[in-house]
Amino acid sequence: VKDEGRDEPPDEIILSQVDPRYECVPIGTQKGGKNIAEPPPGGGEEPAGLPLCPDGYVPRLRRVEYRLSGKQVITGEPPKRRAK
Amino acid sequence: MRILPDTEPSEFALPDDETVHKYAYSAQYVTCYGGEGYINAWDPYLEWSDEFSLGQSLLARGSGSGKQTIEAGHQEYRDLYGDWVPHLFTFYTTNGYTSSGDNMGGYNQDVDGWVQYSSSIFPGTRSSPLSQFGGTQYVMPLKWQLWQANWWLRVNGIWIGYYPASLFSTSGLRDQAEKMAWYGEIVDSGGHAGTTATDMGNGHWPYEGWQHCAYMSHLYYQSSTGGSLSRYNPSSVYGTNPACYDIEDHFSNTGSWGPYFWWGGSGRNSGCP
Repeated sequence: VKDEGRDEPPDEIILSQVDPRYECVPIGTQKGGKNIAEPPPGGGEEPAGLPLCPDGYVPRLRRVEYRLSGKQVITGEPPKRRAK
Repeated sequence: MRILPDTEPSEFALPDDETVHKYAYSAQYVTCYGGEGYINAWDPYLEWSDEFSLGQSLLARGSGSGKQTIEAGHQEYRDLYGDWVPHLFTFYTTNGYTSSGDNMGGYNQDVDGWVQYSSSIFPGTRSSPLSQFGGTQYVMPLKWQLWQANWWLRVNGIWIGYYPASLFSTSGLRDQAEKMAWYGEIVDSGGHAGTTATDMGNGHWPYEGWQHCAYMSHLYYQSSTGGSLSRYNPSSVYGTNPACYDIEDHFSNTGSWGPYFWWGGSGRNSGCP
């Protein structure tokens, strides 16, 4: 029997081809399942411009591991001072 | 007018030994299902990479380790984003900030929880354009709405994604909030001499006003599940360190800005050594 493959969105996370600071996640794959909800009325259109991700994906900052205390990031490194 | 706090702001993050969180704070304690407002967008000076400066909205319910929040706003934080420019941020906690991780709490999409909808605007993206001192002013319009069991967030008129209400408990944010807050906050990391010079807002003071001080305006909360809005009228308004950072409220304003306030300051100065 011929295998037609899965009729599901892809699972893999890919790097944005537009900006390497971002990665592309298949839409709806985080908590909430793959069936993304519909928003309330009253939203506008997405702004025009080069999309960060291909169709079927949404962007996010590339994930890196870090530790939080409350809302503070704990790096274990001395802080850098910024000249004013 | 300054209104003294009616309760301790227990939603605040737990500080480390030497760190101090400083606020220009307002909160209304009311059953609500969302809210909206504008945050005037600036690029604050951060003195240290382990300090942040933000202006934000917050919806909360519960207390202690049962406190649950959803938060969004405009934040600059070198140790989180790797740069010295402001970003749109979201944050949530299901446990009073006691632990973070997938489906428990954290920033942006750095942990599971947030579901991204927009293909162009997302938590963590750079906030742009930014206001100029004495010049053009820009705002970040934000709106939260509990809609079909999801806490949706709209930014600049675009619904960008949501926190599923199923992340939260029935005594928390599963089907309502009990508080809406709008405020500025900085962290003084404390591992240095004197008070930090990190800016809140744009580093200027409420008395300086339009084009010279940061503001939050058009502040409303959602008073019914159907979506109707009511004026934000907080019972708690104060600066924790008013010589360093302050707030000036105009919540009775009937002009085009609706309820609003000025917020910010420069941190270290002669009155805030």
